[in-house]
Amino acid sequence: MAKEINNSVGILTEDKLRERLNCDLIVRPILDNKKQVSEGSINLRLGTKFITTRRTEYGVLSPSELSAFTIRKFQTKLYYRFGQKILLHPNQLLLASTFEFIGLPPNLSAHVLSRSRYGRAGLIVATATYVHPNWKGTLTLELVNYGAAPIELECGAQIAQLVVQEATPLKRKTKKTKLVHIPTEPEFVEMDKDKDWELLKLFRKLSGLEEN
Amino acid sequence: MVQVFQSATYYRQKVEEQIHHLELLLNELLNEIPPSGPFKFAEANIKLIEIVKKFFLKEIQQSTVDEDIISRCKKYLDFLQKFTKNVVPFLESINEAFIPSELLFSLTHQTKQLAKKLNFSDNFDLRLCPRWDFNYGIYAYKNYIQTSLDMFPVDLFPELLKGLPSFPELFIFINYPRTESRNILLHSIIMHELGHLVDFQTCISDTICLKINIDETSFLKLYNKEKESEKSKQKDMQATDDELIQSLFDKCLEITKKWLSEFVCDSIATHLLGPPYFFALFELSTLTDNMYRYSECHPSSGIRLRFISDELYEMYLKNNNKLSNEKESELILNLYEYLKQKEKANAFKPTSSGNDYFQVVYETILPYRTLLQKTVRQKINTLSYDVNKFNNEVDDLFKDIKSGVPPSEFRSQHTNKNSSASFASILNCGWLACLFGMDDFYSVVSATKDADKLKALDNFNELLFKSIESSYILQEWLKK
Repeated sequence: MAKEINNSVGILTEDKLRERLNCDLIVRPILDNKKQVSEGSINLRLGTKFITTRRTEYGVLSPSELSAFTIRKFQTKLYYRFGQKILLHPNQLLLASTFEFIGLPPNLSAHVLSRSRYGRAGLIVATATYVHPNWKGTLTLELVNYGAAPIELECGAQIAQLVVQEATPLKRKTKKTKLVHIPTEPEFVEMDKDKDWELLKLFRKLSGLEEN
Repeated sequence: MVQVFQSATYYRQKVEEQIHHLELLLNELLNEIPPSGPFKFAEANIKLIEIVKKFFLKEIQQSTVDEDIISRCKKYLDFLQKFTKNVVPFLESINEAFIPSELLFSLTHQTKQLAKKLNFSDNFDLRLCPRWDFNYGIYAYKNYIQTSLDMFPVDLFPELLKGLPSFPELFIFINYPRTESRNILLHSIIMHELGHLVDFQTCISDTICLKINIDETSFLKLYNKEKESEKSKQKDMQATDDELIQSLFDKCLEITKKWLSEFVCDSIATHLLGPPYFFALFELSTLTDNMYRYSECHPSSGIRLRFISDELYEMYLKNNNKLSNEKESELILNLYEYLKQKEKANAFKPTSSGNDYFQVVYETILPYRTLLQKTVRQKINTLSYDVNKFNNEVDDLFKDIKSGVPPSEFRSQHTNKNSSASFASILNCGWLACLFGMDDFYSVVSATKDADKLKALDNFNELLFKSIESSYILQEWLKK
């Protein structure tokens, strides 16, 4: 056990990042190899596909009442070109994805973070920031503008960073029973897929908060 | 009272209404066109209608005689209706989910490269446009806008160009089946459609056609048959021998030209892509049950595939040209032998119960197979996707896609660095995986049930689309 802890190097810095990029860490394409890989992270670019909210189509996002159909009525896809500009208004949520496809080996995990130069304008790029070992796909970014003025974003701009760290791989092999989707574009709301809400409904009934 | 619908005032009002409706429609469509849609084409057409409207009002004001006004109005109504039928479908607002936009930029880039290397103008605007029937096609409006203005006594084209500084010489629309918009492998057929553009610009099939002699034996059979049927007509309705021969010859030549163009485009697509075009055409022919069916525009898919298999044999199986992937090599060889046998057994020969011209054209073209292949090869030799390109790139890419990674980069043997994969290599890797690697892919995404496999196949396509987008942008980025 002690040996494993000693082997852990924590967050990967540039040399290690480059070494792993040549080996088992996938970040593709890296358009600017010199500048995109920096001391402690890899800069990620904004992709070309987005999901936005149709506010007129839905009232409340209630996981127990959502379905793939209602989600598609509530959210809609937008397709942009590489280099094209997209405006993000104050307090607007826009789902985007990284232009880069990311693939982590079993012994690496990562966090996707805002870049400070955008953060200072009020832009948050991700709220669900953790990326599991073995994960593959383009990362869905939850872009929110917390600033006072609209922000003009450009598809292809380096707006996020990936901080990669070593992880202790599982000793047992996990057997996947459900179909795995490898995303290549932002993903729709999936709150309904957490089936806990059925049990929680039961608790509400037991507490008399909801009738049978 | 009946005159209400026939007066000059009525006609004039209706033309103005039709123009107004069309203006509203075009502007609405322009607003709805997605980023990868035909903006320039829409703008040109809006400008065209603006000019038509201006000219109509001027013409009508100059005229005082009712009959003259009505006749002019009828001309305009006819134009407006034809315009709506021929142009508007290409401007229909299309949900971008149905446009494989990742493909558009790569295709435009490749077509420009073709234009550069084959010395034809690259001043075109290429767009992808879905259609409801299960087929592919190409529409090129070269002088459409210009010829639309022919109805006016003065040349209005310069006026139209004033407002459109970057007016392309050619508007190209490539059609594909809407239901298959996200089926990247089937889109290999698009290379055949681009072949039509190359053929149109470089006149390959016209050059071959000049060297072709109509097959005498089958032509004589056709002539005798037609002569017999002429006899059943009234004497004064019967054609003279010369007239009959000329009309039969013209018709045979017309069909020969069309079929030749199809064979030439098949050959171009095979050179540009390699096996994916062959596989995709096989698939399309199976799905549309077209293997033995001939039409005046197209030879049967069976004989086309036979020609293509010959080309593939030369490119990937003969002598030192050996594909590194044994399974694919074996499959192509098997299909080559199968098609060869079928041809030998006359399975692809048009039946005598069908159109009599088809037998003549079939017998005419077959002896010129080598000439056709040689001519295309000479023309686009340097652009050919040869066996070395396949062997250097596809193995790496194949490993990636099987493990669920977009096959956009491969390890270059020369630089030992990652290089962006070519469009042809991505499609080759995609087909290879589709034929021999899907079990690996299904296992990576844990797809065991049939319904899951269908979803996994969608995912597989999206990964290929992603790699086309990534590799194209990487290539362009590195050039800057």
